[in-house]
Amino acid sequence: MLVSESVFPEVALLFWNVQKKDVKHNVVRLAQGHGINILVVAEFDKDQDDGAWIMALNEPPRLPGENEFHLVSPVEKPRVGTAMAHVRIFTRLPLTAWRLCTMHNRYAVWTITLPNRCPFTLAITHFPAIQQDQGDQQREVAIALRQDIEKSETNLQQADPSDPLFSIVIGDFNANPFDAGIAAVYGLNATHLKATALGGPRKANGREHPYFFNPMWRFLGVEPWGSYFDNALANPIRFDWFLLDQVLVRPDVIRFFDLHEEPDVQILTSDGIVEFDLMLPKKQSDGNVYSDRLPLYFRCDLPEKAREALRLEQENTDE
Amino acid sequence: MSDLSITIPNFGVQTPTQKPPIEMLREAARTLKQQTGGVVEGSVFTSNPGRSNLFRHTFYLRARSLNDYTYPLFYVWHNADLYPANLLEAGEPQSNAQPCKDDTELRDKLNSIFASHGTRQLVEALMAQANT
Repeated sequence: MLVSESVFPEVALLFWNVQKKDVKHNVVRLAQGHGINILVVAEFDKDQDDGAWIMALNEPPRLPGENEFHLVSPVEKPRVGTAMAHVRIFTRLPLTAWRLCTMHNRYAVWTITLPNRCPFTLAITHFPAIQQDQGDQQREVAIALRQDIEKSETNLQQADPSDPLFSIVIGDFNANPFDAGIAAVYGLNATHLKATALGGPRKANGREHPYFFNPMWRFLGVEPWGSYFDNALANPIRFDWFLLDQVLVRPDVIRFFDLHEEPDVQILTSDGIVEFDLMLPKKQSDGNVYSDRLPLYFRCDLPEKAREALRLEQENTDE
Repeated sequence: MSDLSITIPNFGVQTPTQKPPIEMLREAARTLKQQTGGVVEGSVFTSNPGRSNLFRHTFYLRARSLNDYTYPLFYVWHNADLYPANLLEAGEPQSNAQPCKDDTELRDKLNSIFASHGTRQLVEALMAQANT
């Protein structure tokens, strides 16, 4: 949303595992076309220059009210050689809003606090490759991630209990939405049904486990069928297309985005000029110019602090 | 119930008095493709940042045979009134943007960009690589 530089009514995220490809011109078009204010690039080639990407992202004309992109530089650096060391976050949000909670080899958990908005948790993932393992490793990382997200959420809830539990997890999970790490109660506990997510936590073994809602299920069975194509994976079940890049949200986020007319969750197959060659069967087998993944877009409004406090007060009165 | 109704004017019959910038850019893209035998094309990317009434067009040189290489040549942006439109060559600071009060002025300035030494060098370099 193009508004005054100090007002941030929404978060518009683009996640793309670029497979070390120099796709900055494509990313510029994606960012401009979708009004992106947080861009997450995984498998960023170490030989590429962050500065060149920033310059490209900030190419003129800069329009009134449009903030520049900056690189988010965590206080705690990811370990050299790990998946997170190859993740770059570029943002138009003020850098002072970002606070790192956890830096893991396979994910990072942040809280973002913007003026007059409820703070929210943002987790960014790059789980172990599906070619190496198709279950155990992803599930183990998912369990650790869920625990770290819950820590961040607890801290935010302690600071202000009137804030909604507003958490977003986006990234490359190297797992499908129905795999245990994503869907199981001890994993990320992400359900495909809004009603289930909104119906309170899942009870299992005498404990309560808050749900995530996973809007990615809507892409199963429809073009582009997934975010990654691989017809040579050693697996008794052949999928060809995998939905490995996903966004999960806490139930409180559901009312702040829309999946209908102009969906706020999209797997992007084109940057507005070129169609990504993953869509071409020949390129799927011969190698890609752009990436072996398709980019993922997610947008939601951010809850206003004052309005949410009023809403909670109203709910308490009604009860 | 009252018989109040809303009257919607007939929007479709008005012919624009000036050629919209995007139409001029699309024409330039088509002509560039013809002049290079289809080796180098122009592509126009339009964004409407933040659902505002601002329109930003980027004119790219595009060589499909070079892994779909694209290179920004210039930018044009304007509001819903179309003119004045601002024109900026890629690589120039935004302070060098040239306001164009109407389609004639925009056409003349675009002609200058396409005729410039820098553009010729770029297009010829792309053609040479595409033909090897």
